[in-house]
Amino acid sequence: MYYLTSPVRIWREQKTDYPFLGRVGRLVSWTKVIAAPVSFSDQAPYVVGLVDCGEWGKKMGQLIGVEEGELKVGRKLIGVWRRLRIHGDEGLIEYGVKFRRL
Amino acid sequence: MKLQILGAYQTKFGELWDKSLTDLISEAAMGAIQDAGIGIKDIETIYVGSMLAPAVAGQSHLGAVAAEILGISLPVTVIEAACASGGVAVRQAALAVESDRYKNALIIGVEKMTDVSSGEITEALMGAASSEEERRSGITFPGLYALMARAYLDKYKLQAKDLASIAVKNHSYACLNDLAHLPFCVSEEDVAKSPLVADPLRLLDCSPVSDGAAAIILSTDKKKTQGVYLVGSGQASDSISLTKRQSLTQLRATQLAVKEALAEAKVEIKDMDVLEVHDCFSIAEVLAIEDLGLASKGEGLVWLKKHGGMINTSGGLKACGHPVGATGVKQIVEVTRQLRGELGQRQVKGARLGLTHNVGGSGGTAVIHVLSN
Repeated sequence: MYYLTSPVRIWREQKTDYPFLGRVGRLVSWTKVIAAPVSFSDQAPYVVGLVDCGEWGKKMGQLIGVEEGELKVGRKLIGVWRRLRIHGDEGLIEYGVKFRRL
Repeated sequence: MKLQILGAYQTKFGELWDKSLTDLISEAAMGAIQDAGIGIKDIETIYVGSMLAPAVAGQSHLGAVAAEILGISLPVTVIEAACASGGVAVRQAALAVESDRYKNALIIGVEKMTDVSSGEITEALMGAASSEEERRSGITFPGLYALMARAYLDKYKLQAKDLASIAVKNHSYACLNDLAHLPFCVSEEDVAKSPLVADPLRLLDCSPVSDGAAAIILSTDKKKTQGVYLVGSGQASDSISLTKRQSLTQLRATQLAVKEALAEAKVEIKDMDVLEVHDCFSIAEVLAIEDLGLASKGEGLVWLKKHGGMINTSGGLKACGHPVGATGVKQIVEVTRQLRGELGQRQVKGARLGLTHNVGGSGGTAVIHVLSN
């Protein structure tokens, strides 16, 4: 509804995540999203973190397998490949990087 | 050349289901023209600021919409800079009028946001963030500012509840503003009890989703005056994405833009009597106070406890409302009225210099104006 998506766009944007697969980074900040955008509403609530992967730059991604009490600045995380969301009635599946505890 | 704000008008902000984009544009435009005491034929160019019209209303080409409403043929420019669309539209119009190409410019900021659901508008607003770096993570705008809030609170050893005073102050002004979206008072306890939106930000830390419009006339016409002048303007940008920012606890775009505006106006920030700053979320007002140079880093909340009465007398984005493209123009309207001495119980006595601070996205754009009477 808010932007036109397509297999081409999903394929191209997924490639921006490849460099972060298997990268180890440290947590800079995080938030638990309760009021989610409509394309992520089936996943809410979820935690999104800003992760510093050193020379590879900073990456924003959902945090998985990390308990709330374990969230702290500097926590080591690793980038893993996960499903991000499913688009529209045709069910286009978008994958990308999320971060789990190392 | 003296650039004056000849006319100023704001519509009611709120959930205006009976008003369309064209209704809002029409009301604001005619309101400003009548306030200026000029005719439609005296307008030589129009600037329109809006972000979401294509996504939410299915309406691009707002320039032609405005021209159709006013029944005139003239140059119309549409500006999009996310939440800074209105402020940047004012600046572009000012540059055009200062060039002496036009004598009278009409600037309209407008947004319709409440026709769609909360999840849908949250999705649409993510157009102001990075599509590649941020949108795909599921982050939201409250989420982006929550990341900044957490970093700030952690760095300066504060707690989330310390931010509640911002909402209390801004709502206390909104109670006195019949154009505000949320004209009711709140307590710090109300803020603490409101539901989490993006931890640590709660519902009452966040500006509402609003419809509304505002308009001003900028003029170099020497025959007419309302006594309020635009004396300085500054604009700067930073990365759209937080992943590329140097810091989560300051907005470089604000710091650069205010330097330019104050230099042009030949004044200092401490000379300001009244300011409308971009409090899309409570943390944003704290960062604004520090980035504008009113307080040192980490001291924004302390400064606000002493001097907050001069900040956001409209109720701010938090309580007056935040129809995204309208906000930057509405800030100019509010400060203009302060400098005219029109605001009754909200009046800052003896106000002579005012500043508006309008930010796009999470700090990708900042635009500042200085006004004087």
